Amino acid sequence: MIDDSGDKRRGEKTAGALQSTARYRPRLENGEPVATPGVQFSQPWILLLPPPATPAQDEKN
Amino acid sequence: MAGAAFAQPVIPAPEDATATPAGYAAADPATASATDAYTSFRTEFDAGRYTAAVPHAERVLELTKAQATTPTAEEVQVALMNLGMVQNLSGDYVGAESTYLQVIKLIESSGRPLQDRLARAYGGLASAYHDGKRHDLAVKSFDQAIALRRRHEGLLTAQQVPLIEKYIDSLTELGRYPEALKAQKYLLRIATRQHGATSPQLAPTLEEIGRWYASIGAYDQSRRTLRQALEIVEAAEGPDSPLLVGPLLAIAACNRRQLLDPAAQSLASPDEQREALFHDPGAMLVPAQMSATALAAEGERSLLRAAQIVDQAAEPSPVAVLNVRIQVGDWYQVRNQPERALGHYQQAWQAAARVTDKLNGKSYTEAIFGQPVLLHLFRPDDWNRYPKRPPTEVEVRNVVVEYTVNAQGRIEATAGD
Repeated sequence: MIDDSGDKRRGEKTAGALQSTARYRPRLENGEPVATPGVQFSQPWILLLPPPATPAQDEKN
Repeated sequence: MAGAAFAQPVIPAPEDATATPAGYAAADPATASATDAYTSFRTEFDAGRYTAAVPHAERVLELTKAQATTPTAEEVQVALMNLGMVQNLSGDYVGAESTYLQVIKLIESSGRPLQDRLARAYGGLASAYHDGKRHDLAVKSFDQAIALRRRHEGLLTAQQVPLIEKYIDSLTELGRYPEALKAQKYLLRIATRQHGATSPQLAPTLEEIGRWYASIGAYDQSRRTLRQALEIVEAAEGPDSPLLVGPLLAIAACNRRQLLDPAAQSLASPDEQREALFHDPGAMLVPAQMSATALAAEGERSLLRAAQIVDQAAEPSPVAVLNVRIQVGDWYQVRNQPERALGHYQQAWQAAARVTDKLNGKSYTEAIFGQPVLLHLFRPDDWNRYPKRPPTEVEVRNVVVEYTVNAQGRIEATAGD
């Protein structure tokens, strides 16, 4: 895992989806399929931003 | 060519300048004369170096404006049209938008506006919006461009086709499928008028429509359209016509897409079952109308028939062999049958090795087989839980994983596991 985006669970879910469902056309060298190390994949996660802080109302005396 | 994986984009031609000398010497855009600047612009344009053509087009415009008798002079309009086109081709969509808006204003305010040029200016503006992914604005400009074209050229002319194809793309991006379908049918009417209702030359247009149906998840309509293409070609040219290859590949692509489409799964099945299917690519999802077995059988049969037709040609084109064998290999690879995929990939590799042209500056073998290609992935089901929220309310965070793809096309291990 290069970057779990600050959440281990997101990293695990991404790695799990890749491991169980990804299918690649393999690299061919001289017409023969070969393993390729160092392949990277980036999965975006869309997260909700916290609501903007509401300015505190002036205290009334 | 419909069905080809390596099609070249259609590039518009520049408008003619008033004079073009025969010789060419690279000109400094800041100091060149109008003639030299136009020659440099044209040379860069013809070589496909659109970014390099922009400063020359700007220089032509600057000098043309200085020499023009009126601000709306035809020469200024031509210079603006050429600048807008190369800005768009070089990816400067905002610059192209500004230029086309200027030329539209000039044409409309000139004494006797050239309707043909106005149509092309609106078409250029629409293309800039389309290529910049501003599809709502694109549709409005396409509407104007198409209306002007029809007024100028008449209905059902082949010249409208590239414009309508982009229009369909923008409508599809906006989810306006009925209007996109209406435009698809208009394209079919143009092709029918051009070739005749039973001509095998209708096959590429029917294939486009079939592929479009599949892209929006209308799989049954897609197959119906593609089978119609097959019937027309078979009736006119027999069962071995090369014109069958495109629709056959499109049927396979449609079926593959449906087999892997979670939305094509019957919603009547329990969530647990759907969850299990979603995470198991070996289990193809079952559509309501046609069984997974039937879809898979038809897809495989279509691919193998396409490959046979290509092989039967007197001198099979290496690119055609490459295109079809890659798709057969990918079919088996996604179906988790790498041992069946391998022979087709090797035939594709051998065909690629015979192609002497370059693809993106690389040999075909390197460009296509030089790195693993991700064919299929079910992303984590909750990666985007807020699709309807505006960009101001969400943020994007990326998880980056590194791993080895083995010779069978599977991930061996993720680094750090």
